[in-house]
Amino acid sequence: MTDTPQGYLLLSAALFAIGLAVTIVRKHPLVVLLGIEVALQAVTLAAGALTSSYQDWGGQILVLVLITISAIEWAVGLAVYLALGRRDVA
Amino acid sequence: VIITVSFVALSVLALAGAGGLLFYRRVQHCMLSFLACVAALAGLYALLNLGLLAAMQVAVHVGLVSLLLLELPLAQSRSTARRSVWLLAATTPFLAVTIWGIADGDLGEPALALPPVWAARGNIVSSLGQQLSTVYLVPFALVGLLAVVCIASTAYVLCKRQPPGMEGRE
Repeated sequence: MTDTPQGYLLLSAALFAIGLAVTIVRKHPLVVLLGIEVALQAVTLAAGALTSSYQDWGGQILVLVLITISAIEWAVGLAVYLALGRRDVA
Repeated sequence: VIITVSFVALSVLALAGAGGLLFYRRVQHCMLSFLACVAALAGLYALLNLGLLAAMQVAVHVGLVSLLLLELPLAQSRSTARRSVWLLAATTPFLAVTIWGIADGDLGEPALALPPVWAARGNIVSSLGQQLSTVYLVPFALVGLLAVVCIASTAYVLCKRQPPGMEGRE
C-alpha cells in the first residue's frame, strides 16, 4: 500500500470528508476553522503523495504554497474570531 | 513491514484526530484532537521522505496549536516574565525541528523511492530554493505578497477601535 500513492490518496479523501462534515455540523467558529484546516491538510497530503510519486518539483512547490496559505488562513481566522469576541464583549 | 505498520498507525491516528473534531464538545479537546491529526500527517510526510515539509508541518501547525493551547491558560497569568519563559520553552523545539528539516535530516528508508531527479541534485532544500528563485519566482512572489496583505489586514482588524456610538451595542 505504501509503495504507491493510492493509500495516501484514500486517506486524503477520508480526511477531506471528515473536514467537510466538521465544517457543516459544528457551530463553534474555532472548530469550523479547524474543520476547514483538516480539509486543506487532506489536499496537501494528496499533493505531497503525488509529488513524491511523479517526481515533479511543481508538486513540492505546491505543497509549500499550500502550507503557507494554511498558516495565513489561521492568522486571518483567529483575528476574525478575536474581533467577533471583542464585539460580543462590548 | 515497519513502514507499512507506521503508515497504518499514522493513518489511524490522523483519522481519529480528525474524527475527534466531530465528537468532542470542548474547544480545547478539539484542538488537542487536531494536534494529533497534524502530527500524524507530519509523520506521513516523513514516510514520503519529504523532510522539509514534515518540519514545516510541525513548525507551523503543531507549533501554532501548541502555542495557542499554552497561551489560553497563560493569558490569565499577570506575570509577563513567566509567560515569556513558557512561550520560549514551547517555541524552541519547533525551531529545532525546522532547522533539522532545513539541514535535510536523514529520515531513514523512504516509503516511496526517492525520485532520481532529486537524488541527482543532492541537497533537496538548496535545489528547492533554486527552483523557487528561478522557475517559480512569480508564484513565490505572489504568495509572499498575499501573506503581507493578509498579515497587514489582520493587524488592522485587531487594532481597529470601535466608533464611540457602537460601544455597548450587539
